[in-house]
Amino acid sequence: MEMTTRQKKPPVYYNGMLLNRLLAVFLITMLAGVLIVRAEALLDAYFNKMFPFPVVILGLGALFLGLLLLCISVIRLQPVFSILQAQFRPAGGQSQESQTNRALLRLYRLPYELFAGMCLFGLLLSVLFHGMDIAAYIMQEQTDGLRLLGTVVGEQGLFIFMAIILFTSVRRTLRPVLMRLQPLPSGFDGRASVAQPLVITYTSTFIVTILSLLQLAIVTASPHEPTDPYKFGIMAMFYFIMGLSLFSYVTMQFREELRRLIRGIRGLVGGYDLPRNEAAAILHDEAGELAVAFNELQNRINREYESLERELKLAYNVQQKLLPPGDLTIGSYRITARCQPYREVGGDFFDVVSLGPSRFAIMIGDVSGKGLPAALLMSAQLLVFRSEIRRSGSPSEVLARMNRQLCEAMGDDGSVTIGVGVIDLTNNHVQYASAGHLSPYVVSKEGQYKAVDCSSLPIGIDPDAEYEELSLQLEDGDRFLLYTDGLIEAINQQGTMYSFEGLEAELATWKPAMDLAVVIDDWLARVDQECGPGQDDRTVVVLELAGEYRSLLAKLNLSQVEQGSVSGHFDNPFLSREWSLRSHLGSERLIAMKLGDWMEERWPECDIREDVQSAICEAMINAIEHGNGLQPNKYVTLIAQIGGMLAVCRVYDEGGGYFPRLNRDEEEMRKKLESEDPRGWGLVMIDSLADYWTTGRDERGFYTELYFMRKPRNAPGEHSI
Amino acid sequence: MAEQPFSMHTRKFEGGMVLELNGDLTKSAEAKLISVLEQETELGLGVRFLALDLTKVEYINSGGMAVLIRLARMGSKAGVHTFSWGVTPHYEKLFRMVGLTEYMMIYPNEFAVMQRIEALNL
Repeated sequence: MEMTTRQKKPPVYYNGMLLNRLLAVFLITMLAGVLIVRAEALLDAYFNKMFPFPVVILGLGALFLGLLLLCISVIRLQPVFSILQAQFRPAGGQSQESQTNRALLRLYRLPYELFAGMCLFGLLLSVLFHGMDIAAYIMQEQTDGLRLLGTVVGEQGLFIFMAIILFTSVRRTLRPVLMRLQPLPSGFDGRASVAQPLVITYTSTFIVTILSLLQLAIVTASPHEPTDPYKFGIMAMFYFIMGLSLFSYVTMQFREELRRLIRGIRGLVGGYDLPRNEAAAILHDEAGELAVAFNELQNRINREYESLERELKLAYNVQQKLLPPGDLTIGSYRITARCQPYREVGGDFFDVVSLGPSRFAIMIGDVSGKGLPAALLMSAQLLVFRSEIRRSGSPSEVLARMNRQLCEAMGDDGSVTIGVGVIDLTNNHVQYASAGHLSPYVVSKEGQYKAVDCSSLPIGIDPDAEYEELSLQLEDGDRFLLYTDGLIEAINQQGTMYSFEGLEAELATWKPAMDLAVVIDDWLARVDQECGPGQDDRTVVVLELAGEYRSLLAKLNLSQVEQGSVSGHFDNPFLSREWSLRSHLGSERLIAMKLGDWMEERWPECDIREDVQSAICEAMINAIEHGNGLQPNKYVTLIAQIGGMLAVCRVYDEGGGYFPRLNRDEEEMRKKLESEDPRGWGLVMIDSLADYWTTGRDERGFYTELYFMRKPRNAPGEHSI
Repeated sequence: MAEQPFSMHTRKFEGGMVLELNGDLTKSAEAKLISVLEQETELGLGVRFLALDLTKVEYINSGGMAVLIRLARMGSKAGVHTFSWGVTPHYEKLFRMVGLTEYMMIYPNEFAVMQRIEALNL
């Protein structure tokens, strides 16, 4: 409770503080007036004629005057106090707005009123003091007219000077209150103009100086007075300098506000981290108007910028969705691809396309230029590639067809470098063709690397261009690296380009035992750290031939007929069944039950139903959890075929896939069992319950394939564990 | 058969506790099962035996298996013996397969479990 009170100061406290400050301002101004009078009197006896009272009387007069000014201020500021109090109550709507207006008007007017009052008071005082003398002078009595005029002029100079001090300091004191009452309703009067205070302070300074000089002239002209003109000069100079200081202060205040705006505009030009609501601390003068206009402009630009940012983000998402997953497994190959766009959208792209059970293609490309045009061209080229590579043909033919299409569509306006490799899974043979793309590397498991030089013109330049193609033979453990120039041209903090030397030095450090994805991620992170985000997209695609895996149906000792019939059966609706489910854990059980029912129907003498169900459930859980990452909009599909002697079930997911690596040795199993968070039992169960299992990829996506043999009940040697 | 939500009922006996498990035993049962054991062992209420009644559990997947392994291993570390009954031959096979039987004794029924516990108590 106490905290709340402290944070939200009550109106009484706030009003009291304001009045204290005003009183201080008034008293200091009056005291300054007394001091000036005394100083002048000490400087020259001539000034004794001005207010010829003892200091005590002068001081009391000043105190009285200060209090009087405070009383006037309290009366004039009454609407301000009431509106400040109202701020602590619930909002009052329309009436509160008119009250605010009124209060603001009073706040703006008070310095002017005090200024005018002070000048008038000075005049009145002079008339009162020197009334007799003036009357005697008018009646042609023996009075020194010049001397009288000099005194009155000096007095007026003093009062006008005090009026400027009052004006400037009261404006300064009321400033926070003005800000507190913002925002100001529209159509405020011209008193808020910055020109008025400037004109008033400047004119007053000018008048005070002129009056001082006039006094000097009068004194000098007076024949009987033995006075020192320099002393009058000093006084004139004093008034001038003080007046000028106040003038400068008002000007600097205005300048400060303008500078703040200029800083804001510079920030706006810079484009990032735009300051918001800067104008909230600015008064309702021209600078304030400018600030409001600036604020509106800024908000508009912010809105535009945000919408552009949103659109770019959307474009980035679309682009990312067009690209295949970064980690893919196809047969005995593992593919790791990373694409880091320099901006939200980029012109680099890659693709992996399955071309039937034993072939697939990888591709990398780089569109010339950056930003949205490059991104659009990239998306188009990716789709063209997908359709062209499926239309058959070698990589060079695909490039030639893509080239012709691009030349027809874009003329000379866009060129794209592309590298395409088609891999034959049966013999690890790679056909590679490049259209102006950087030479790929082959890194052997011994750590040797060699660049594959093969290049022609980028596509989109010459419609009749032909593309060189070469053949490579990959060995177990080989890594085939494709990359874009954003990586080679990355420049580190010392200004050195990453270059081919940097790339080759990196390749020399690659160890075959290290996981490919880890190697690539670590490498790119290091490049990022050394060279920053750079000026271009960076893309890397690495194909690794993991030699340990071969799809060997022969392991099952099946007859050739059974082996050959497996793929055929999948297309036969009478022999195969298919179920799809969303990636939601728990829904796999129902599908497994249906498969179990079908199996019991087909193989009534077998008792492997429960085993099949459990194994299929595990394969589906893996697909849901790891393949599809539990994203409910992704599907898991089970295709099962139950033949005469063999049942084959494929569980498809939409993920990047994995290798069917499973270490079943005793030590590994113990480790798994004794780990704090025992996981990964799914593959163990699949491995134990299915007669054989493998993984693969075709047009439908990545699959885990489980084989079950038809065995009579309690067949000997069943599931030796 | 649709998914059966997991539920659990506990009852105490001298020196131990019976957990009657119901529904599908999957990874989602982990929090419930583990917290029961943690509570009991942390309170030091002298639970020395944990008996799992799996009669009403029709489905256990690898996630559920992992939960059972974790439970039984936690128990064995805290000096708690874990027993179970009502396990179908299929799941008994799977329990052996993953090595769960090293930490959890499987008996045909509650009576056999209690006999064993009595013998251990003596």
